[in-house]
Amino acid sequence: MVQVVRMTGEAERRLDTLQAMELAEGVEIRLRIAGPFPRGGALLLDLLIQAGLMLGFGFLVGLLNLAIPGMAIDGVSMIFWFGVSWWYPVFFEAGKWGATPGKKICGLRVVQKSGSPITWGQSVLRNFLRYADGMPYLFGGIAGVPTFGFALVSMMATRRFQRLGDLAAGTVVIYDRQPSGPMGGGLPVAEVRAPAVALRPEEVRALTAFKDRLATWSPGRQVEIADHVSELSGAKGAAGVSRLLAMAKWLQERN
Amino acid sequence: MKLESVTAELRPRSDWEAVDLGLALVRRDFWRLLLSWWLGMAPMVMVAGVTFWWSPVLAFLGFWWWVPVGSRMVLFQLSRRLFGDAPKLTEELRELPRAMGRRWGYRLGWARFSPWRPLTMPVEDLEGLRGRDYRTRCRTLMRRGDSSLVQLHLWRIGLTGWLVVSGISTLYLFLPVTAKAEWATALETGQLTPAQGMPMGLAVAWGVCLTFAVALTDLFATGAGFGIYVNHRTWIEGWDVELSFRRIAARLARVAIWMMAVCLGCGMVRGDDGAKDRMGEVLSDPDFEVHHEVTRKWVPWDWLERWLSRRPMTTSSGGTGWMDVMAVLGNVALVSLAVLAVVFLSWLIYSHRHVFLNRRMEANPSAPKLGASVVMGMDVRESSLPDDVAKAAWAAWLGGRRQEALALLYRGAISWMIRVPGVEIAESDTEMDCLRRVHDAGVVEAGYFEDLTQVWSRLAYARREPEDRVVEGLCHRWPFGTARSQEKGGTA
Repeated sequence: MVQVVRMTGEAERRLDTLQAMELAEGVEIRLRIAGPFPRGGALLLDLLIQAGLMLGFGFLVGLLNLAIPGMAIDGVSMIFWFGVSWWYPVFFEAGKWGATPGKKICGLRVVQKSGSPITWGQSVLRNFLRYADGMPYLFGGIAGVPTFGFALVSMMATRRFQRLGDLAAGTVVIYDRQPSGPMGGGLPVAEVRAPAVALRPEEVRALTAFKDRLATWSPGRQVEIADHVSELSGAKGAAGVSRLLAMAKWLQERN
Repeated sequence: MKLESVTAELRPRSDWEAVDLGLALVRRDFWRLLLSWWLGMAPMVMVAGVTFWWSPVLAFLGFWWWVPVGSRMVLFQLSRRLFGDAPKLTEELRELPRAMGRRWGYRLGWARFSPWRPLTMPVEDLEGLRGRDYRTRCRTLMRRGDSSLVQLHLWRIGLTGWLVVSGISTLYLFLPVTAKAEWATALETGQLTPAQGMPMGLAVAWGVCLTFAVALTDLFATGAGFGIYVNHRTWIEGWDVELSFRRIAARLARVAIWMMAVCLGCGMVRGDDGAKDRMGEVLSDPDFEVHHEVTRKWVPWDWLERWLSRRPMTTSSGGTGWMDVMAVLGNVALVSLAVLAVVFLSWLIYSHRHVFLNRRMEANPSAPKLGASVVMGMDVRESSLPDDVAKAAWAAWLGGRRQEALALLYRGAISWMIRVPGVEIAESDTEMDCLRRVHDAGVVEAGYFEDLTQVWSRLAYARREPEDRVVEGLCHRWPFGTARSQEKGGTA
């Protein structure tokens, strides 16, 4: 079982949609848990694809029936429907993608709470419980239209946006794509300078982020931010900014 | 705004992650925020209750129109909670008149239908901007998360209706039968008020479901919009970097004080030059060697996945999701078509097999005709039968072996049917099937065979033994001759 890292002190109280996990080797990974809206979009896309598959299959079977009358159309179609509606998500999520085509389009992925790919059994469990998540059903019983009310409530009420199937199978849905942001990053830095004091990893990260995103801020804002660490750079104003840049470059080159 | 006391992790996020942060913020203080929302709505609930008591539809429209005031109260509470405050009820009550009056014509009039309300409301409420500044600021902010805002608005409309329908139908499930019928007629005839004959229960259910659907969607949409707003300011103003820098400064100040104390106390601490060497020694220990173990899992459908992914696809990174999916779906469709074609061809060949079989028969006319050798578990080969079946059967009957006697007669008859007129009897045929086939083949002896079948079935299945005279008649009338005479009859 993977142990959840308890962040200490101040950070413990801060709310986040990340889930930090410590792997056996002491490496920390962070899962970016996905919320209900992208997942709802993925569900709609999957329903569209499934409907398309059923339509295409119905068309083919219809053609075959014209050519050869007396085929068991109903039976064959129902078997195909069973495969498409019950096994399609199971197959895709247990496969290499870890996502149904709809999730793949939306950049989502299903993983275990530890971040590793889900097993075949977990995939069966979380997808067969889709029918519990579909409650309440409109227009009569389990054959009616699922409203996914239970899934929505469950997702809103749990910390990791898990629906009932996720809770049972111990899985989470995460964002698989890296966010694309306005990375400036192109500023040439001539000077290289070592920081006067040893820096902690999160402080190194902050300096790197400062260098990468500097171009997206106005000059006034650049100075404003840099002035907070004038003790570190030893200068105020534009000079402080360029000194911080030099330190960030030194830190990047050293690594 | 005290950035140091922020209660959520500030970091640059993608658009939907920002929405998720907003949802998580709302979830953390859900009941408090719901109370704030209803606090904002309270004046309208009272006004509508007094003014439009005669028309629930108008009362609900008034309620719905007032929703931005509720959102404002939620935003007031939510934004202060993000930065570590928790406004008390008295503070909220002081805020309420401002929330109702602030840019009344714009927020409740012109911009009432704006899908960007969750993002633009923080600009006017939290930054207090108006006019040209407000518009410029909104335009800047909308460069990030604009598409997710519009999608959020669509979700919100859809989910509101969806929640109402599912709420009503869930309540409907729990109704007694008589009430169900009343509700059904009211829903079918489109009665909208109790005055028109709508059942009171249904009216209350509509009211509760509608108001709560609007409340929940607005609460979470406001939170999501606030999440987008915070995320954008984090990107364009470097909130996360500023926060980290403040922490660095605070740590450096602590270190400086501590260092000064140490220096004053015991002088300068000198670094140990031998430390690096010792570190190297320790690290060269085999315990620190990095081992890698690669395990591969065998997956039964591996070949299929490998085949599906033999085209160059970028499956792990984003951006080409559509192309991947289309490629795989195309592959699947292609394979399905091929499989279907093969199945279809096989079926065609099978269903027209007589064409090929006849041709083979013409080419090889001397091939012996095949017949079943075992029918219903009985050996019907000629070699297993005595020469004179009728005589042997009668002898067995007289000897008291009645089952054996009739079985012998029946076997002999089937054997003859297969051999001489060539009736197509299969191994799996029942007595009735055999009889039908004999009739269909138009054999002259069908009448005798029918009598025999009847007698045999009665004995075999119902244990009703025929009289001696019947069996004697059957043996006497035996039309199929002896083995020798059959040979003659068969070749003649």
